[in-house]
Amino acid sequence: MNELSETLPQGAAPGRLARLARLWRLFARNRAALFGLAILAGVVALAAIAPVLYPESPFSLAGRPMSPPFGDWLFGTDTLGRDVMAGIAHGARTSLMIGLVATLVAVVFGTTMGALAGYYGGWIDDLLMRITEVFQTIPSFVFAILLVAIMSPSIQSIVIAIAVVSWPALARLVRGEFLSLRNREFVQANVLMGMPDWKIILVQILPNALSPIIVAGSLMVATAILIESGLSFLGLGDPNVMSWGFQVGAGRTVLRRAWWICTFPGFAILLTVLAINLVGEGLNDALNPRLREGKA
Amino acid sequence: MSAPLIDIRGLHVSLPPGSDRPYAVENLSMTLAPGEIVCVVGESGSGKSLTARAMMGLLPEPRVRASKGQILFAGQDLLTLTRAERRRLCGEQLSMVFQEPMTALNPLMTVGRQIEEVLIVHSDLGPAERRERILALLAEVQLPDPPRIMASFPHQLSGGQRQRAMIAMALIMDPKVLVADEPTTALDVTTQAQILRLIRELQDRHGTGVMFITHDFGVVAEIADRIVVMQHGRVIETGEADQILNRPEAPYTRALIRAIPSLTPRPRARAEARGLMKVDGLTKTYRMGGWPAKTREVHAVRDVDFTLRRGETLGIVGESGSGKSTVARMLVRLIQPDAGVIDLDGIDLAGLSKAALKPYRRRVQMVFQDPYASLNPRRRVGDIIAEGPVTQGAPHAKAQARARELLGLVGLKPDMAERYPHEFSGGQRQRIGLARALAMDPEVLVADEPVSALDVSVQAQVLELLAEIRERLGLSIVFITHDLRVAAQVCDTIAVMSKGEIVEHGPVADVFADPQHAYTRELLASIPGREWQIPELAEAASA
Repeated sequence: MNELSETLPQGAAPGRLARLARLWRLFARNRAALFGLAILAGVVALAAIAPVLYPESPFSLAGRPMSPPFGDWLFGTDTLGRDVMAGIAHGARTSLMIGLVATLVAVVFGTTMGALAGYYGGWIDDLLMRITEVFQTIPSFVFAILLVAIMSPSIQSIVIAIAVVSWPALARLVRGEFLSLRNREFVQANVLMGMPDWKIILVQILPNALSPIIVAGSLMVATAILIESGLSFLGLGDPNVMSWGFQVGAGRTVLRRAWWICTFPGFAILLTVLAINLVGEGLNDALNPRLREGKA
Repeated sequence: MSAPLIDIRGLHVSLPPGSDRPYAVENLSMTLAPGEIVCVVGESGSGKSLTARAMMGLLPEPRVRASKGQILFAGQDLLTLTRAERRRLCGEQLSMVFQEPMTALNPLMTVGRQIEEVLIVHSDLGPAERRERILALLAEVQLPDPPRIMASFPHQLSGGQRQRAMIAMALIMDPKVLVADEPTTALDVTTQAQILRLIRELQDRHGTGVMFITHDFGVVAEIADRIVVMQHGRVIETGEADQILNRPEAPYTRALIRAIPSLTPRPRARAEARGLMKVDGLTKTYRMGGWPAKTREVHAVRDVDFTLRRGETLGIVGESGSGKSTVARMLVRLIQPDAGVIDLDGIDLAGLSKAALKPYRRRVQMVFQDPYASLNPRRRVGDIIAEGPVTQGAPHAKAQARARELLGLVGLKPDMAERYPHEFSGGQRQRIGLARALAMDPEVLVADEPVSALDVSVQAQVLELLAEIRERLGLSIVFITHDLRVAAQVCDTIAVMSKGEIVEHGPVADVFADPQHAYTRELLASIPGREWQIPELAEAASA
């Protein structure tokens, strides 16, 4: 060895657990993200124990209509005497479920479209991106209303509508990532090995594009919850499922006489969306640490 | 010697806590006299650029700051100046030329306007006088047609012209000190030679003191009066150019100079006469634009022929845009040639469809240039190397075992297979990239600038490894490089490319001793430090 030799990495190779621990440390540096995670955990817990806390249907009559909050009922009752808190608990299930499922569908579809467009380029890219643009020309909320109205309101139609209006943004993001990654030399090395395209896309490039997809996906959950609330507020929700948007819509007419009917479900929406955004922001910091240092 | 212009005393530049060392620059003292060129040489991470930035007040404060020491200029300590005082000095008395002229110039302003800006800030000349002064200076830096250059935007100029414009901008106030941070690194070798000559001339005429930061000892030999050698933030050795270049004392300097490839081609046993790969009429044309604009044709590669014999290393040398990388990528069929034959043992690779090509992929493999982009950051080193054989149908366990074996072969340890690429340095990554190519058991290895992103010491080790493996495995190599020193050491025959064509082709020793084509002669004459005979240095006693 002379003085110009490079030293090899020392110590044990870091395992999967150590890498997760490092990610958690980066995430936990962001206090607001921890706060968001706590709220989100609360909402998830509420959704999980809703059937235990309120075994009766949230649509069933609980008592005198428009009872004020913090009396017999924690958040009072609505115009028909339904327990607002029971509605919030069951609505949490609806909101989270729709948010997650719709986002999942949008992420899978958007990633597929973006990956194909970005990897192959040429006429495939042109075709897929023109299709994407068609979807982007229609304002997303109006489009969602239209879709639900056509398909008749139900959980499935709401999920489909939200996914249909959400995937184009993701497709564009993924396309951009793939465009830059497919020209990296490691991808060219894989081509030289004779590796099939699907394997290069799924095994080689996709893991490198995952961080921005996770961040965008987590923020998309928040948007999905907002769209769902908006739809049920307008009466386009599934009539058999309790949801926060429906509660706000139902209490809207009596806002001045019974403020609590709108207010508490509204807060639930606000807190949940805020929490998800904070968590998304924290994920962004943890997964793209360089950007964070640039800001500091 | 006259009193120094710049006197740096005990300069410390501290790094943020948690870095791998507390100081980027530690206890640095040096002087710069009027009319003198001092070269600060070092490898990446030596702190040479931060020294220059500390002088110009360009440190990324407060994370990185000059924490101790003085930088005296005309009796004033530059480190204690207020922002306003420093602003007055910068541009007027001290100025700087950066490495990458494209990013150092504002792309939305004409060159003339940018130079004028300096005059508006630092002088009270009227518009007509300013224009006159700029035109005179543009002529002085030997730019053709100064009025046109003045009205041009940076992207309309070539790299060399941009760097000349940058130099004009730095010199417009006739500064006493010019700091040049790797000003020729981004340029082609012929342009580099011109810029170096220009800096020398201007410095002579104006008596400017120049602090020249570089990693290239060839450039140092070309231009330096005095040399400061740095490593890990410390000054290793200081002295007159002649003394450091020919009689270095510090073991590090000696090791560095020993690592520089010599221009004298290495004598080689003759390769077998049997041809392995015959390339004939290889052509690639890019068409741009089209209706309604006129189609523009760029002939990236035109009618390239050569034969690669078994066990031979063929160098393809040329400047940027010569088409050498396009040739490399066509040989491995990352780019589809428009015309021509790539005959490997009787099979024309150029004509095969993607599916038909798959079984032949194995036989021609590539080593890439960028050690940071050529390994998938999300995969373990062992998987990266084993992927190829697995794709070709080898059992997983066998491929993994072979990967470990190959890691040993390229000078790493087998247990490094468990690690991720980011844990390795640039040279080590290139070794991994080589192991990945070797895993396919290739007959032809195409190496596209495999050492140009590496420091000179690491470069020497990787080249040595490549030569050793070539001998051991009987590989034939196509070696793409812009560096004629490297070509002289590695190649048996070379092909010189210019504007998409091979202008000269022959055994290295012949081409170097007696170049036939005018372009080859120009290329050889431009090699920095070609007159400096690298001294034969014995291994230092400590090694």
